[in-house]
Amino acid sequence: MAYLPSFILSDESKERMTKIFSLSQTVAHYGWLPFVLYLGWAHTSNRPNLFSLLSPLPSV
Amino acid sequence: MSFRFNKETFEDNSFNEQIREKLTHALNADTGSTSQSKSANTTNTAATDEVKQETKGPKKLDILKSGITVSKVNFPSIPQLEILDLDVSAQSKSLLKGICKISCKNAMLEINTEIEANLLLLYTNNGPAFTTPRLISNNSFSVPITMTFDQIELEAITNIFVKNTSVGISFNDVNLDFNFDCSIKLLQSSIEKRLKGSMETVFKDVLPSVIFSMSQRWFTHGEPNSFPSDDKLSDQASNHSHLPRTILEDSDLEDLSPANMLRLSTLVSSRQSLSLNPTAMNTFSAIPGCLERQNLHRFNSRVPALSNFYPDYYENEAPDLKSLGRSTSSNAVVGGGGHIQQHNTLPQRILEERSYDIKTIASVQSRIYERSSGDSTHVRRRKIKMGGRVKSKPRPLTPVEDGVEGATDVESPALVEHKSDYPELVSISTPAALHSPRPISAAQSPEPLVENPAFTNIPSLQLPAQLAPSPDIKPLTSKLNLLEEAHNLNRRREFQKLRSSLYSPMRNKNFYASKEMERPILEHKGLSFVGLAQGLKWGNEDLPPPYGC
Amino acid sequence: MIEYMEQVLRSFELCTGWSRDNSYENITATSENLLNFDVPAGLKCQVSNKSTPNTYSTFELSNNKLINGSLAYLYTNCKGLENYISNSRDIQLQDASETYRQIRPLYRHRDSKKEFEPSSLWYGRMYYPTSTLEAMVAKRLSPETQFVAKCLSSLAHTSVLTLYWQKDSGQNCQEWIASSNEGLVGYRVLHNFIGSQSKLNSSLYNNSSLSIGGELWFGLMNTSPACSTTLRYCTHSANTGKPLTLTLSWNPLFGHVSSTYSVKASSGATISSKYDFNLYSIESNLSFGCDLWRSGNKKSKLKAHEDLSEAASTRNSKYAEDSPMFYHLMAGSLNSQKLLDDLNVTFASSLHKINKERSIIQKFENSLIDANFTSVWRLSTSLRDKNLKVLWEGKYKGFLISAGTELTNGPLDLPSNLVEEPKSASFFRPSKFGVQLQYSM
Repeated sequence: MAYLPSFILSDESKERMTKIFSLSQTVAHYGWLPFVLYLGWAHTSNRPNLFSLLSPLPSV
Repeated sequence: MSFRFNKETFEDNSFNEQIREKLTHALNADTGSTSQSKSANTTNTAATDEVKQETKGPKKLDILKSGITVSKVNFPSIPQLEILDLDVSAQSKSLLKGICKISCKNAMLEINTEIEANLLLLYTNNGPAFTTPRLISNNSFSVPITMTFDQIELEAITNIFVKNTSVGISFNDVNLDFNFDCSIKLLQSSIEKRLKGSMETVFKDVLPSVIFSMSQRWFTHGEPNSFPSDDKLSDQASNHSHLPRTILEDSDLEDLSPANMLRLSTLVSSRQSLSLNPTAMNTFSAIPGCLERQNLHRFNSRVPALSNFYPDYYENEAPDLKSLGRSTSSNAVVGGGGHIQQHNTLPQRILEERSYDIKTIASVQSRIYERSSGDSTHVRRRKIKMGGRVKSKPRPLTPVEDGVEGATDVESPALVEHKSDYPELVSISTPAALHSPRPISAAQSPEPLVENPAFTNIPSLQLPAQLAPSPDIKPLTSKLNLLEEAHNLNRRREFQKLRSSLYSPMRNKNFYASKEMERPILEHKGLSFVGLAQGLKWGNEDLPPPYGC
Repeated sequence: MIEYMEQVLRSFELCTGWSRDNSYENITATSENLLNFDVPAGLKCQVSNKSTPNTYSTFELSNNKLINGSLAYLYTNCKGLENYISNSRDIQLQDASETYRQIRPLYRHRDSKKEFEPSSLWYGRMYYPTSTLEAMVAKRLSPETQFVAKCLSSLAHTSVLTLYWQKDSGQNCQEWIASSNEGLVGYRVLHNFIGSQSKLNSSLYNNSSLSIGGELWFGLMNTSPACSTTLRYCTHSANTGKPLTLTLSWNPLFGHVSSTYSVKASSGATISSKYDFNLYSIESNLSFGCDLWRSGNKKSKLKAHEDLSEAASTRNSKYAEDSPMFYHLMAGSLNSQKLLDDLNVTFASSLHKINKERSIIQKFENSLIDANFTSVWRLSTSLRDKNLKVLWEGKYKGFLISAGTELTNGPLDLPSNLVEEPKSASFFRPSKFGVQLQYSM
């Protein structure tokens, strides 16, 4: 954003956009694993409980 | 404060080798650390383990495949240091301010190293293994590179500030020119452009900060981080990746006299604490207008009185006046009690040996008059007829308490004799002086901190009176003349002389021979520099107002 | 040792009929596996689990000066993937270890393209305590294309995104790659020559494959290019049926030529050698690597594992030597059966020879499957780098263990020309040492 001249975007909106970008990156960063887990949960027919999905340890 | 410019270092060509070694060491110590990180990089990327790479933080690219070898260094001429201005100020913040001109001509430097030509390999090696696609046959290809810097001409005007805790240097007017030759012609122009661009930061930021932090270290006696600013600076330095580590080492500073450094730091500490610790003989008045007890003798010695102008005649009787001012290591409080009282009298010996100068006496007396002019006392003039009875005159003068005026026309035989003695004096002092690497302090004197053998070889530079303590005391009159001239009006001219005499003595070797008339000037003025450390003439120009003479 | 998640990914490719070996990236995989294998650093433990047929997870703890951990989850909608993945107790060691890559001739690829169905794989891995995220999406869009996006997201450092677009028609495999790291863009292509009978080939049964490939790279940010071209020839020795691979790579930009020769000398040994030479700087390097496989007691092969080995053999049977050899010549002809019969009569002796050769090769391959290897010693050395890498991989009580060390003679952190003379007298010293434990259900 910083490389754009100020007449295209005002400093305020630039700042806002950077904020939005960093926020969305954070969301994607931390949301990716839950998303993968959700996909697994939603596409499994018997809807296993969350713990067995989460646990990396082999279930007994 | 004294300083020595060790010219001898540059006289033979050994310093070229020394520079080469130091450069190689400095450059390679730098690359050693980075190549360490580089090897860590390669092992990390080899492993698919992402964790290590991430914990390691930002990686540094290193295009260098090997260490840097400085293969040739040649400084055919001696780098010149020219002091343009030196200001010893009594402000509490800075001790010394000076302007120097550094010049260096026709030097040559050749550097060898190897660089990685396959840039993409560097980038892919540094990238995380997970997202970096694997390239086939992407091997390293190192190319040896030789860089030659020819005809290096450096001319810089520097401002030097010596402060309480450090030395600050700023480079004002840097003219650096060199011919650059690179074995890879493709890279020559870009490297040259970058080099010249970075030279600015070297002189603007790097060198001053390196010197500053280094000087902080030796002003504080290596006490680690005794100043918060030190921390900050080192932090700053570590933040700037382009700032090199301090290249100067303690071994470079061996030449500094430890006694001087000790004294400096005591001075500094006493200023900081405002303690009037008498162990430091040469602490001067921290508060303008106040006179410290241990500085009283200096004040006294500058009060216009006849006795002050013939100090050497007092030496036999009271050598402690000398030691008071000059002894560097003795911490004993020398009161010099007998000489605190100044008498406006000429010593008997002067009269006996007829070495007085009427002019001097006259000026002293007139200054006494000027100082006391507020009392509106009238001068009584005693006129003495000069004639054939000249010889008989001095004897009644012995207890001269009043002003002596007149007799200006007297051609004192002593003066004539003294002039004829000059060549002899020169013949004594010149050879040693030519080899003296530090003309200023060497010209001065009986320094006890003599460690350099070269230094001890200069006996002739001691006060002439000590050289020939016997009846031949005529050279003293030259000193007399000097003191007489040390008025404000003449001061500027003297500075001009001083400047020209300080001006790179190595440039005109026949300096002492051709300007022997100025040698005493140099000597005298040199005293004021040395006085920084020696205390004898401290603050000659900057005495607190009430005591100015 | 191939990590569990990597194994799932490979199984996904296998399941969806994507040939990993048909990419230029892996054209020298065999020699790379044998010479430049990874030695683990520090202690690393991995526990993996197949929680549902579609989801897999791995938990890892590693101790390399400081303790790190990672948690990985994977989801795929590929059907039947679970049949390709076996747990650490049952897996064949040669499947769990990076070793000799057996290249199938081109016409073998064809039958694997049946019943395609678009599928995708989602993968995420979070490292602690740095909370760096590895994310990957792999999509099979059509029978011939695959799209892969890999992203390394880190809050502290810059994030890197790399996109792969791969198109594999069997004979040609093209890939377009773009990475945000240094703005790297690349194109690679691999071409397989049709395995026709060569006049020089004394063997009638042609099981060889000849491929040529090339790559072009350009880093936009640093304006540095890279390119290379490689020739690969894989075949079997006629008499013993032992597979061998030869590659010749050339980097025209930096004049780098490297040739490799890898052979599976016996069922328990693989040897690879590599010779590097730079045309411009006349630098050369010779590397050797070998695998020594130890098989356990064959009798101890448990009955319970029969079905698994069967599964493995069914997997292999996808490529089994049942398709006619002149398949590509005769496909589509109406009277092919009649022609075949005629040929059978006419060239009975030749066909018999073919069968014989084929059976030799098959026998060799079957001996590898049946060997029930329990451990492997891997050694690799390079003359110029003066190093020796030793790695032991094996199965012990259901754990996959790999332990190795790298010994170097050269200096670890000093540039080469700064080291003093006594380096020749110094002994090898370990520069790296590590143990890796893997357990999966």
